[in-house]
Amino acid sequence: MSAVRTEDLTKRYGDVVAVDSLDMEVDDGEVYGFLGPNGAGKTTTIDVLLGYTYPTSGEARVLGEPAGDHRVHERVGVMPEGFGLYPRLTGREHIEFVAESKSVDVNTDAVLERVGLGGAAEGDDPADRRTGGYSKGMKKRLLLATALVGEPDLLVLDEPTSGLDPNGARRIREIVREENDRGATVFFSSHILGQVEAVCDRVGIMQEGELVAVDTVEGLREGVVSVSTLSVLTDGDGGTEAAMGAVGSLEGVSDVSRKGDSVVVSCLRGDTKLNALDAVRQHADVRDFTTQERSLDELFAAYTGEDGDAETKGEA
Amino acid sequence: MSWSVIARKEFRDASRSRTLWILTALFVLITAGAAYVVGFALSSSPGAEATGTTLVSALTGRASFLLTSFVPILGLMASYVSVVGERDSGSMKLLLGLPQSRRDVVVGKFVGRSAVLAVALLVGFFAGFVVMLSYEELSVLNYAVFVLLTTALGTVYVSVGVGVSATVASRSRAAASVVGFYIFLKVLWDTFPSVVPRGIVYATTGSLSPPDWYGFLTALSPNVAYTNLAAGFLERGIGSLEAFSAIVIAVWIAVPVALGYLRFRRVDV
Repeated sequence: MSAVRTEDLTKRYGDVVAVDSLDMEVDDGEVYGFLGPNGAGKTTTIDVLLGYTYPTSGEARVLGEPAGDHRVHERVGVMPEGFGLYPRLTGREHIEFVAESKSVDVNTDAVLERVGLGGAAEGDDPADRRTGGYSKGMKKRLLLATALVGEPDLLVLDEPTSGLDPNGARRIREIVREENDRGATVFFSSHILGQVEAVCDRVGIMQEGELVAVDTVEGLREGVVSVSTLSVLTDGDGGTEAAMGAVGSLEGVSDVSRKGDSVVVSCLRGDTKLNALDAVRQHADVRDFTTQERSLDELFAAYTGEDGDAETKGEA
Repeated sequence: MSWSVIARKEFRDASRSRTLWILTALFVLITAGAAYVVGFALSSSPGAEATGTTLVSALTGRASFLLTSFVPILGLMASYVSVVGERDSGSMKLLLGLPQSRRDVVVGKFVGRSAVLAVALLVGFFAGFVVMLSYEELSVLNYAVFVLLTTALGTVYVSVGVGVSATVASRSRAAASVVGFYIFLKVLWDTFPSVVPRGIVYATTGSLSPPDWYGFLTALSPNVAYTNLAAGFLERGIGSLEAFSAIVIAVWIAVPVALGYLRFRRVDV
């Protein structure tokens, strides 16, 4: 059985199609990273799965039940986007409220300790303070803690790392791993690939309401055309243009551009870089060169059609 | 029951609202002040008889304007943010991520906020009761009936506030709606029927005494229905107008929150 499954799911707001005929499947027991730039339809998809909004057409199921069936939430832990808490209630009261709602017992101190909201000095336990005075990071941690109450079968985390410092983000990844080891399926969204690649079994990339790729991080990396960038600084004397022409005709070069006195080459394979460097040297004096492996962010940008690497665009 | 968890949370949350505490304190001042004035008048006029219902009479008579002005404000203030505020802040996603249904949310909020209002009213009326005790023997039963009726009136406005809050999509629209509702009832409805129908009757029949249906028309307002009931229970006795007024109050308690739920059930939060 899949933990989450959508079939031909569409959600429109007026003329805007937020989710477009989405077919998605999250397997039982996996960690699924749901990626995409802001506005790609990730939160709308999650909203439908959790019954916050209703689909325009199509079907969505959570743990085998139709999305929006509130009873299934006894087995789902939700960390919503944003920072929505009750400012007049304490952290402890939030945890107790969630536990009562789910009819489960909870060790409040333990779960707060786990997310890094444990009591520090005596008399200054954040658990006993009202959340109106919490920092954004503390709010995120408390929201995560509410999701963990009752050992849910499925964790749905919407942008869990946004608003957290690197330590907090790392703690979340650790918790995701621990929960997965316990047997929980984890479905979480992010607009930053770097936040999910370390923990995800699979990644789905959302763009303009559609899933444009679903694979492991390695699989995605292999699927991308341009894997590295070579930047060669010449002395700027005449030969630069000729060098660009020569490089452009090489096998394995996907793009050549000029930036100042540098020739910037996008290479498809590792050995292309050396050939390209040689080709430049035949036509111009080389002062220096740098290479750059494709970062995950660029990889992500390549899938979502937003080429974030300004250098390869040159000055065209 | 799953709505009761929400009701308890609502009670705890709302009872920490500073605005509600200020309003409750004001209410204490109003009832204690009214009791003091009535008691003072009673003790300084030797011929007056202490019937045991003097405070109640005063509050349902002249002072009823005070109560039907203030209790609605208290009820609306205790409730109008309850649902839409959670949509605004995003905590609605935390709430609906739990196993409770949307009906549990609306019911829990209505019950919890009504309980907060009831406590505020009980505190206020207890203050009035204590002050009055120093002047006359109060009939506890009468006073209890009176407090109960006033709580029912307040619950009408909690129902309206929660209903509005579940219907609109922003805090400011909720505020505008309840202010509009208050003005409509208090200023327009409660005075309009007392002027226009009488004018029509006078113009057509030349009679200054209102016809029978007039009382029923005005009783459509929960404020008037409440005054009818209080006066009926404590002085005049129960007749068809009082029975009608009781139904009006019951409908006003049940319908607004139910309409709010029907809207909230299908909305994208």
